[in-house]
Order: sequence, then structure tokens, then C-alpha cells
Amino acid sequence: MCFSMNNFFSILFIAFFFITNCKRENTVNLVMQEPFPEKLSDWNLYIGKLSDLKPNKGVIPYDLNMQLFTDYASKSRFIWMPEGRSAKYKEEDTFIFPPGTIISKTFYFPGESVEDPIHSKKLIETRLLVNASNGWVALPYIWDKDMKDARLEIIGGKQNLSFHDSKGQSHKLNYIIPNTNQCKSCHESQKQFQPIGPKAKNLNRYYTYEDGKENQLIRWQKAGYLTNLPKNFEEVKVFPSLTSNNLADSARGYLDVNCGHCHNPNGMANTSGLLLNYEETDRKKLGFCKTPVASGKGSGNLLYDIVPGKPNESILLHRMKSSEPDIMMPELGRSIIHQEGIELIRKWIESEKGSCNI
Amino acid sequence: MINKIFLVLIFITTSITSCKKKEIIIADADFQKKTMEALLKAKPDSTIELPEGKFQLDASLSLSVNNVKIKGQGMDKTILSFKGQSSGAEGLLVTADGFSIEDLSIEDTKGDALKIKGGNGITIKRVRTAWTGGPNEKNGAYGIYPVQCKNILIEDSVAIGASDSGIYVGQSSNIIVRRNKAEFNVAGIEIENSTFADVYENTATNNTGGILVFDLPDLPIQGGKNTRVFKNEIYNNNTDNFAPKGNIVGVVPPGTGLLVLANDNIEIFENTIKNHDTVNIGIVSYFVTDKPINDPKYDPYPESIYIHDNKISEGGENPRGFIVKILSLKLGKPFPDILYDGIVDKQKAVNGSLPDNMKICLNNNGDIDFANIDAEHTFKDIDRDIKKYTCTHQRLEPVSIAGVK
Repeated sequence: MCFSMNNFFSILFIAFFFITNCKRENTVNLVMQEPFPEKLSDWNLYIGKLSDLKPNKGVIPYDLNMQLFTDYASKSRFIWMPEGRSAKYKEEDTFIFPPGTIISKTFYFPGESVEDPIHSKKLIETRLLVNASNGWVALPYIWDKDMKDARLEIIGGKQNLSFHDSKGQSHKLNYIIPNTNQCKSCHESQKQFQPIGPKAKNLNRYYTYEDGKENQLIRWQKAGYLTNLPKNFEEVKVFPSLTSNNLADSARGYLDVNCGHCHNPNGMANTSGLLLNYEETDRKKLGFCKTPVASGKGSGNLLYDIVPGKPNESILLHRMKSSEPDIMMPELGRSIIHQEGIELIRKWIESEKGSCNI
Repeated sequence: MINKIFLVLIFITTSITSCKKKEIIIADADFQKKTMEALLKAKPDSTIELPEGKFQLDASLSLSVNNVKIKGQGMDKTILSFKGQSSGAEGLLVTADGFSIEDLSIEDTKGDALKIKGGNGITIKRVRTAWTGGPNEKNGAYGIYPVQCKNILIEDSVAIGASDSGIYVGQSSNIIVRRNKAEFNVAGIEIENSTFADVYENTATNNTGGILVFDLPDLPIQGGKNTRVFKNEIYNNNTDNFAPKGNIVGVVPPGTGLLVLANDNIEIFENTIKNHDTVNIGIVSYFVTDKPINDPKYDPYPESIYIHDNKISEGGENPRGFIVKILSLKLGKPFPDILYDGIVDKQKAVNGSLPDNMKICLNNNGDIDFANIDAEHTFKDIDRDIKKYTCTHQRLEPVSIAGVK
């Protein structure tokens, strides 16, 4: 009995080993609890040379209408869900993603070579969000210098970088890779960890896939990744981009994505009473003629968060224009200033009517 | 055979999980990395022990695991210095319940030294936060800073040099702040938009304002009430206000002992308050800040303030600061020991003054002088008659926190 039992176990074990080993070769390797893979390559999200980020079967690339600024880093985003599972559409909030969903976001910079910045590009980090057994986890992987693989580093890191942007201007910076707590500080709302980007309005745009151009939401639906998409597609809102025609809408979209993950009624920065999420309509809460609460020298000796018509008297802009750790906003995710974002917010504040005189 | 292995395995697992874990960090060049790693990997109900020594850190530390204790070897022995910090604004940022920190110092952070957000059950003992270069508007805003927390104990700690408040408890409830020392901050100790706080046996000296009890508009949690401030030593808080403009504490006149702003049900007793250039005790509405209010839910008036059995002496010889200049023309010098702005909620007032249960009551504070400065009418009818305010209120109940004697 005992002998046959052992035999049975070993056969089972061998079979299991083969199955899992086999799986590892071809398909995405989903890990739902600790220990999470030490190397990015262990997940099998990509095929071929890892740094080419060529997606494995079922791994879909996507883009967003409005992006969080992170030191001019370019970002490659992908999503994957286990076979037969799909996300549920939500009008305003992040979709309800099924267990096992993996979101991958790789941050990279063009290389120092001005002639060929694309091919000399430097991959810095890949952040995975995995909807694991106990909820979402954030896993920061830092790329090796030779870019052959990236390694899990929960305490984050720091890298000195220099690169040329699309206009040929050179930047030198100390790029900071967040640790998992810092990931939480943006992604957590009421102690629930959530992805931030993949909301209907921010995904509602075309993407050029290998087999042609298509709206991202339609593509997700076709792939079986999204249910409950409204039949009348016109109903789905479109988030503004940085350069959309409506100045106020662009500005509010920019503030939502760059500030609203903390400055919302349930976010880390709700203690300040300043709420910058896209849905907020109370002008005082949006910062108009609102006095700061706990800003310290972040106030820059100015009296109000936003003074309509007067960008230079507005604390909001002052903090966007700084890269000092205790003054700059957002607090995390950048070490240099975002010129285009500053211009947008400056123009928007300039265009606003009213005054803060009592 | 298999059964036996299982038994042993179960035994090992239980013995590991049942004993409280204690991780001891070694003092070496990797201190920052190791400490951050320990905080990230901490298990609930564990202690992270930091060694003796002065450690230089250039990035914020943070903790989000419940029921973790961080323990140093003494506030003069374990020093985390953030001088030259290049990333993150805080020294240590905690977002967890059941957090406890003891016996260490946090120095020279870019922003706040110790910030705790949204935790229930916070214990801070023998912690020192300091900016070592003296009062400077470049110093971080807050030293010890729990916000939106419940059941907070801060004791035997020291806060020095904050450009806003040394010890600041904001938007919180059930609070004990005792036996601490706050010096050379703009505000020594501040209780803001909070309910049920006991502030006692502290020393507040050489700040701009010693102890402040405030309630402000436009915040998710307001309606500050039920604070007892007693048996504190509040003296020589005459440091010039070095808060960056725009911050509410920027309006605190240098030389303020104790200031109650727009808070209700406050009992102030058995304190020693002395040697303040402007005023020993001030009771004011939000209107004196000269800032707009468009918050319909906000109550800008101080009500049911009971000040009794304090030892108050020597004050008002050199009044200065915000609005004070105009006032001093009308009031003359020295300023009285207790100043009241006299602005009341007309909807609650009966014949122009507050009903008995909402009044400002002063009782048995020795030989002191008082003025209602009629701030609403630019100090037109200054009233120095203390007898009108000699009355008593019902005493407030002590704050109790489970497990705290």
C-alpha cells in the first residue's frame, strides 16, 4: 500500500513537473502569492529578446489619453488576464479586474546617442501590478545594466541618467524607482490597492496593433478581456489629452492624472482638503482661494492654492515648478519639472475669472 | 512517516508564528537600505530594533504594516539624520494601525519628521524630532504629526525647530499628549480639527506660540471640541514667527502662550503661563485670520471655553505681530493676560452675548487682567470687565485610551 502510494505520488509529481515546466516555456507564468519571481523573465510576459518587450500570446499593449509625468520617461504598457476571465466595465472608476490580471509598465529613456536615440534606448524599470490571491500587489523590477533581464527590488532604487528628449534637449537627472510602499501611497484608496490608469475614459482611444488600428476598448472586448461595455459606444467618455482643444478640460485631466490619485476624497492627500480629481466640482476644494493647511514652505509665501487669473500667485503652480523634495508636487515620481504641464496649468489659471479679495 | 513529517512541520510553523518576531538592524553603511527593507517586509506584531549611532539617510522611510513597533536605543543614542535628504519629504511616513515608536531621534528632514496618516492606536514614546540649525523658515513643517488618526498617545517626547508645529495632532480623535517638551517651533503643541484630547504636564517654551487649539475650515474633518489643557508649563514663547507665509500658524503673534481658535468645549486649568510678550492666553474666532470663509458647515466661533485655576503672570509688555499693531494703539501696553476677540455667533446670542452654556468662563486665575477687544468693530468698545466672564462650566471628562494608564 505504502509502496504503491509512493509510486503514485512520484508519477503525479513527475507529471506535475512536466505540466508546469511545459507551461513555463510557452505561456504567461502567473504567480498568485509570495514568493514572487525574482526575475521579470520568469513571468513569460514577453517572447524573444526580453528588452524588445515583444508580447507573449494574450498580452495586449495599450496606451492612455492622459499620462502621469515621470521625468519624461517613455512607458510601454501591457495587460494580461487568465484564460476565460475578463474585467468588468465601469463608467468612471478603474475596471473590476479578475484575479490573476497582470499589468506591466516599463519605463525607458532614449539613449544618449543623439543620432539613434531609439535603438540605444535604456530600460530602467518594469512595474508589475498583479491581482494576486490577497489582492493587488506592486512588484518593481529593475533592469540589469546589460538589459538582459530585470530583477525584483521591493526597496526601489536610484539611477543617474542623461538623455536627449524629442526636441534634442539634453536632460540630466537622478531617476528614483519607487519602493512598494511608495507604490501604495498613490495606488491605495481606503486601504484598497487599485490600478489607476485603466479606466474607460483614459483607455478610450485608438492603438496601432500589429494587425492594424483599433479602439482599445473594442480590442479588449474582442479579446474577451472586457465585459459590459455599453452597446452605444458614444456613451463612453473620452479623457482629454495634454494638448486637447479645451484648455480647462485638458488642465482638469492633467491634474486628475498627476495629482488626483492622492488629492481625492479617499486619497493620501485628503488631509489637505485640496481635491483635484476630475469629478470634483466645488471650486474651493479645487483650490480656488483656498488657504493651504499643512504645506510648510511648500506655500512659497503665497496665500492661496489657486488665485484665478494669477498663476504666479498660485501655490499649485509654485509646487509644480519646484523639484525640491519638500516643495514639489507630486511628491513622488519625478525629480525634474514638467515644462509642458506647467505651461498648461499656467494658461488655465490665467484664463480663470475672479479674485480672492475678501 | 509522512504523518510524522507533517507533525514536525506544523510544530515548526506554529512555534515560528507564535513567538513575537524581533528584527535587529545592524549598524553599517547599508543601514538605510536594510531599515527600509525591514519596514517593507515587516510582519504584523513584530518589532524592528534600531542600533545605537547616528545614521545619515537621504530618502524617506515608510511603513504600512499594522502593529509594528520601531525601537531605538534612546533619543540621544539612535539618531536618524536626514540632512541633505534628496527624495521624499518626510523622515518616516506611517500608514498603519497599531503603530508604536520609541527611543530615537529624527533630525533635519526636508519636510515633516514623523507623519502618521489614518492609523488607529498610535503610541509615540521618548521620540525626539529636531531641526538642528535653530528656528528657520526652511525647516520642515511638523515634528510629530499624526493626522486622521484615533487613539493616540504621545509622551515624554521632544520637538524642536518645526516651521509649523513641533507636536501637531490634526483631524484626529481620542488623544493624550503628556510630559513632552516643545521648544523653538512656531507652534509648540497644536491640536487642530480634533476631538477629545488631553494635553497635560508638557513644557512649551521659546516657541512663537506655546500651545494652540484650532479648528479650521475646508477640511474633511472639522468641528474641533472637547480638549483639556492642564498642568502644563507654558513660558517665554517669544520667538519671532518663522512660518512661511500662507500657513495658518503664520498669523500667531510672537509672544503667545496659549491660543484657542474657533474650537468649542475647551477646559484650561492648573497651567503655569508666564512671560509672553503679546498675550498669555488668547481666545479668538477664525475671523481674526483675515482669510475668507465659504464653508457653510464650518463654525468659526470659540464657545464654551472654561479657564480656571491657572497661574498666569507677566505678559503683554512687547506685543507684536499680525493685527496686533493696530490693536496696541487702542489697547495700550501692557496687553492684558487674557484677550478675547468678542466675536459671537449672532444666531446663538441672546441680547448680544452668548447663552450661559456657551460663554467664555474665567475663574480663580489669580490677579489677572482681561479684555474683550470687540474685534468685530475694529476695537471700538473694548471691555476690560473680567467680572462679566467670571463663571463656571461643567468639567470635561478625562480622555481614556485602552491600555494607557
